[in-house]
Amino acid sequence: MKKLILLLMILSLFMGLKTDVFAKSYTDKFVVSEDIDNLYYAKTKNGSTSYRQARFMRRSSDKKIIYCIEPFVNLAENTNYTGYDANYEKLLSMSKAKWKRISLLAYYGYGYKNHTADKWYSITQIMIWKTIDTKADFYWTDTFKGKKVTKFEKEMQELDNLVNNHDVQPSFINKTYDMSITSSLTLVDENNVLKDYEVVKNDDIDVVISDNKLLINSHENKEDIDIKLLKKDTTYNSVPIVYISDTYQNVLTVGSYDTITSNLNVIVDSGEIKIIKLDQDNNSTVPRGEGSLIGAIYEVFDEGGNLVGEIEISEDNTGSLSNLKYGKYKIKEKSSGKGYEVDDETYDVTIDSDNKVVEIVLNNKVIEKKVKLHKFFESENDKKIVEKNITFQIIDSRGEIYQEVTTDEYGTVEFDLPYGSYTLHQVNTTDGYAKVDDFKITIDEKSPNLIEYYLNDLKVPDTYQHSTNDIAFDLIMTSIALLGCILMYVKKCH
Amino acid sequence: MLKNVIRVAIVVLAALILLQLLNIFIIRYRDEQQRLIEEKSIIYEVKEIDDTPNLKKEVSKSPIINYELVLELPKINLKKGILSIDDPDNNIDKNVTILKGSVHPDEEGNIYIAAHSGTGKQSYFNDLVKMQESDLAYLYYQNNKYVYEVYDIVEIAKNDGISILTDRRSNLFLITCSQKHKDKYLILMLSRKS
Repeated sequence: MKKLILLLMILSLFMGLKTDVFAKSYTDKFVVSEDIDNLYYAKTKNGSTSYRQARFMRRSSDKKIIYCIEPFVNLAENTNYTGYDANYEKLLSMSKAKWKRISLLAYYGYGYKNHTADKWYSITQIMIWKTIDTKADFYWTDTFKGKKVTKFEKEMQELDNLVNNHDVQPSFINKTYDMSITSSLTLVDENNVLKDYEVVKNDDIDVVISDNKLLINSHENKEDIDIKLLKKDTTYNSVPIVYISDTYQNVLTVGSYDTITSNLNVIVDSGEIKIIKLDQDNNSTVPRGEGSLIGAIYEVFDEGGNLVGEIEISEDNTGSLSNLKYGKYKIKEKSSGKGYEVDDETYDVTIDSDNKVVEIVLNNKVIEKKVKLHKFFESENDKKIVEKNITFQIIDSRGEIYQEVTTDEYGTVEFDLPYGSYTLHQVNTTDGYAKVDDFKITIDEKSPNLIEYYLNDLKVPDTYQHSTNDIAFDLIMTSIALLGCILMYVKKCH
Repeated sequence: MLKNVIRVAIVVLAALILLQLLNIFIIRYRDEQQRLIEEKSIIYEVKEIDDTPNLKKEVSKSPIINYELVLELPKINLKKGILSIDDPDNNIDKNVTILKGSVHPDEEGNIYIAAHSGTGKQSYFNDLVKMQESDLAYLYYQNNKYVYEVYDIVEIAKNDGISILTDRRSNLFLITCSQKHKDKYLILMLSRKS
């Protein structure tokens, strides 16, 4: 067991060394270069003060500036240094945070945008020292070994801000946004850092940065999209390199910072309008009479009045239109189901992220007409007499009794019939009068609003007559026949 | 004896034949006279008298039947006078009859006119079956001519009291026996055009 533990320790050490070995190494020389006029440093620590003339230090090979990362330690000029471009914290025995600040001070200091005046080099350098050795006091003096002066407060604050804000990401990241298909969404960066970012192209969505706004335009498909924004350095084509010396000061060359990735999630969704169709009178899906709610068609218009689609009511009394972008819509019936009146109303609905499926219950009035029957009979004394209490069965096309109605004291009965075909059958009658034959009533779009029938009962004499002339003719013929027989008999006898 | 019986029988039969023949001639003569009176009465009723002085004199001399109104059916060449409802001769065995319950043409309501069809002499509506929808009928009443048009033709089972279904408040009904179905009435329904 002990052997196993020892072996593992040796292996981990080896891996650690291997990590150091895998960092790319560079070899270079450095020189102390030109003075920066009228700028002098001082360092006071533990009661002891050291002084320096501010001057540039450069890499010999390309004259690129370098920064001292061991305050007030001498640089070994024209001596080979070995540099590394990784594991900086380990190399310099400092925390990651400290290293990050140092590298960012170097990045945002001299050479960044308008930080081109020589003073920026010394400002950057002094701030790097302050970061490295927090127990020492680094400051400018008026002359070499002179008095402490306050200088470049504003510049240092600016550089400090740049470094502190380096990791600030746009205010809208790490959130999920809900937007409609074929629509636009604008996100405002309240941190005002968006200009430092670029969008990673995504074929499913169009994203553009405009000042501190992120403009998003969705496509026609529903998607769940991750949008990536990158903050990448475009100034340097390499990372910082730290050059180490056992005897002399370590230095660093400025390089790119690690890319910062910001994410946000956008759910592109669409809405749906669903219509549930009911009969207006019975408030159910069961149509009245022979009407049908199925087949009704509604037109859907967007806010601009453009027709975006139609909804047809199907067998389950519903119909829907999906894949609609968020917004306001108007719904109007184009044609109704068989036997129903068209609804002239226009209905407003709104689809948004909280209401993606909008259900609306709409109903129709069945075509219905009034029927009035007048029942009377012509009496012998010439007076028209109303027939009350005469009952009629109203039979629908399925042969079922839809309703029974009875004439009132005025011999009339009035009732409403919904769309369909019906047979009226008289159930009872006044003594001496026959019932009227069954008759049909059809209620449809063309029927008048009031259909009236008059049932006239009367007495009629028999209207068939046999001719009296025939009787005389028959008698004549019979007589002739008889006479003929007699004459023949007489002739026979003689 | 037998010879006498035969002689008598021959005489009787001969007499019978002669009498029937005479009867027929008398009836025909009477009918013709009646027809002439009726025709003149109709002319008088419908005021078709022209200015011929002789005809005027002729009309004023002849007896006149006081018809209540005159029915004309051009399609079947019928023009008959109709007596008032209460006239004893307003009888289907004698004339074209107006039935009880009828109103006058200038009133709202129904007019029921019936006549025989068949082989008899009074079968005035025998040719009614030839009429069709859209055919016209005229009623002359109190110096006015009322025009009616056929809108429906039905057959209803014969009964003491029948029930006629219409969708109009005022109608002219022409009723007679159906020639196809002896147990049914043939009814023409007409509505007023003017």
